[in-house]
Amino acid sequence: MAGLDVGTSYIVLAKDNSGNIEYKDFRDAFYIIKPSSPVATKMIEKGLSGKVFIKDNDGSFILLGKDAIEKAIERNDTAKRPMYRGVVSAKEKDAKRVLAFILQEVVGQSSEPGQKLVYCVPAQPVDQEDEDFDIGYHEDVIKTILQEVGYDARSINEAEALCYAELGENDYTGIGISCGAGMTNICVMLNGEPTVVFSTTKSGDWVDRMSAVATGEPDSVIQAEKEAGGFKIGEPSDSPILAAVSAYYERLIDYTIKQLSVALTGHKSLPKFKDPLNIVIAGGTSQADGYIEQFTKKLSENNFPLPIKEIRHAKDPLHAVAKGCLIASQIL
Amino acid sequence: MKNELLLDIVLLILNLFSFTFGLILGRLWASSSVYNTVEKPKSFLQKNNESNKEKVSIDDKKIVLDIKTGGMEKKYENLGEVKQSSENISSSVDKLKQLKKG
Repeated sequence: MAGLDVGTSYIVLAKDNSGNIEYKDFRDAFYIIKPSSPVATKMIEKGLSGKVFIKDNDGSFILLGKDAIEKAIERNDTAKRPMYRGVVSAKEKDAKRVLAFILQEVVGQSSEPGQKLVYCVPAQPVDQEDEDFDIGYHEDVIKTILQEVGYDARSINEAEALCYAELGENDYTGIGISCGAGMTNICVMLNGEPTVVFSTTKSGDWVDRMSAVATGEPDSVIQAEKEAGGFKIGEPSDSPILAAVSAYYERLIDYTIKQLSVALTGHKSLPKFKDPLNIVIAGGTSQADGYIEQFTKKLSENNFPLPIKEIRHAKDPLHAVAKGCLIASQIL
Repeated sequence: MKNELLLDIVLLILNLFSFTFGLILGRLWASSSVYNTVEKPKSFLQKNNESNKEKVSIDDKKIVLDIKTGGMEKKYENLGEVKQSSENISSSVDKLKQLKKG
């Protein structure tokens, strides 16, 4: 049995390893280099020695993972990603092939036919009307890819998986917020049952995109600077890039809380909770310094419809969703 | 005077009786087929019998075609970073199984 977090930025596999958990992470990115001549092909291949790349049947080289991001930055370009805003795009032909390759490499061939694997999918967003945004299609693509390597693949909502991983001490009652690169997924859970589930399409990538426009730098440079740290949300910075990132992070947190408040106010499926709730937050986007502090501050400034006991970070924010998927695979 | 008053009372009672009798007769006749042919006129803008028709829709869900990765030659040894965690999920799994049963 295994759990798989199929994220816009990272793919994380969780497997049970004699009672412990073994995680396998891979950066979900690719960069294509098309050689102009046979001589160029040889030179490029030599230059890519030691990197993670594949050679395609048309002679082009496809760098994968962080090597793809580094190469793109070298060329003042931006690496491509197989997923956009949390889902596979139906229009990107290369994206589907590369995603299939990456996923099958990460999960490997199943140890037995029909081995159970639970993968996460986002919830329907409350702020997206693009017809390209098709969660059902995304779910089917991932399932097909995983079935090709022998898995009995089932999907679970991303934030629901987070709740399974992190709300054990709270009788699986509370709110899980998964802050990915492409989307922010939210689940309100009561005794192990998800009651309200939705997502927004503003998350880490939105911060990168807006900061890129504000500073005139490519998204990949913004992302690299952001992930290197060196800033705290809500505090000024000498670096224009980090100052922009910090400012947009504040807006993102405010937006997420407002969307959460609007979605929950008067929701017919929202239970009447006896006690104040715990909110647990995970995902790469939540790892920015000051995220939880700002979230707590903004929550108190907004008219949140539920009493909150504590807002905390997941013990392992990057792996929590995959862990939740693994737990789900063992309940099926 | 007395006779006139008596006559007025009788006339009133007769009127009430006629009205009531007429009401009862009218109700009984309303159920007959004669009245059912008088239908309420429909506006020509109103679509006739639409709510009675079965809605037919086409399945326009996107299909997943074969995703061919053949021809993609690996040029690396290992893909991905492996990390071991000492977390044990068996208590979480047991607890959730109990909750799901209940």
